Amino acid sequence: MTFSQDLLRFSDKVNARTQEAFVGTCQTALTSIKEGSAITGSPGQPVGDPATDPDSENLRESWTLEFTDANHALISTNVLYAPHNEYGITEDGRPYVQRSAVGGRHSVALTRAGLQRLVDTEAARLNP
Amino acid sequence: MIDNDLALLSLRNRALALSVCTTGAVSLAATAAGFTRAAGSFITDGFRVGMEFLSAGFGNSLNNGTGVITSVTAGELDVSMFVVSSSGGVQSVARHATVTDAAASGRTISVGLPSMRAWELIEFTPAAGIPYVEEEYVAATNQLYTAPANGGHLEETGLYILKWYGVSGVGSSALRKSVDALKALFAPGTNMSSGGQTVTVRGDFAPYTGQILPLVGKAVLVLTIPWRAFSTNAIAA
Repeated sequence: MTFSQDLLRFSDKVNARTQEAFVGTCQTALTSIKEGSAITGSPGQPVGDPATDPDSENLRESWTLEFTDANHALISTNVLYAPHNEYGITEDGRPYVQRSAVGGRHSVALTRAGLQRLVDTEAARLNP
Repeated sequence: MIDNDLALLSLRNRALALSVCTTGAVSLAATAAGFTRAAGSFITDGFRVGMEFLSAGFGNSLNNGTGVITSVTAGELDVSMFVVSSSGGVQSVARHATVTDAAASGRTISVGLPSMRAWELIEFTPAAGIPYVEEEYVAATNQLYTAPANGGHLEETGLYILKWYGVSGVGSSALRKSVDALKALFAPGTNMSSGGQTVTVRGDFAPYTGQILPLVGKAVLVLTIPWRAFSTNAIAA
């Protein structure tokens, strides 16, 4: 094998690993927002008791991950009250009271703040 | 590990030092509608409709205190003064107008953090038409960076969130200028010390605001301040 062939192989490997790390980071970011993460400190979305509230998982399950192209992804929700839960703000400005013992607020902010840690964790997983 | 109570207090004290805009000590007069000036400009100084202000130095005590700006021109500030009092756990707001006070020097009108503040876990009731700020302290991650563990280097991170509730129906300038000034106060790299520990505003993920959220009768703009603090790990015997 020539040196240039070696370089080509190395380049292909780096590109493949980079793409894997990107996809893995996006998936762990989605999990951080939806279910919480010890890496970011995100509590995840609040989820009540399905026995008493059939829509209790509505917000958590509304979060989706979409790869818009090879280098960009979008994590989003279409639930109108998602910002209110994220920031702990009610429509009429009354104190926000979380009724669920699971999940909490600021999951998106904490995931964003901990994004580099998610990347580092994914890189370490791919390069043990 | 850090003392989170002290960390919260150091962040809060930083916010309390906010100055959005001020006339400085100048010659001002008062009328039944508000305040006037013969020199300088309230607009250039940064005052906007919907801002809460603090006035001082007037001869008549009714012209000193807190109020909300209802109209701004270069030479005139129309206002609605208010006094918040609490009795038996019930909060009440008394509003009054300013009164005529001839021009004199050494008077100031300034805008800082709203006087009504919803600090963490303190009972709070907002009043209609009066801005207020709500805080949240979120301790997030804790990581040991060095070895050995005992005596090692710990990094803790978290968020300090300030939600500024403003008057609705007066445009976005009051909220935007106020929160922008608050964000500038927590510039990346800002150190806040209390009780021998230092909390630093992160620069890798710096403070940010977002969209103004319209609510019923008010609007809110959220400022998120990511912070980090270092300490020495101590393993109990």
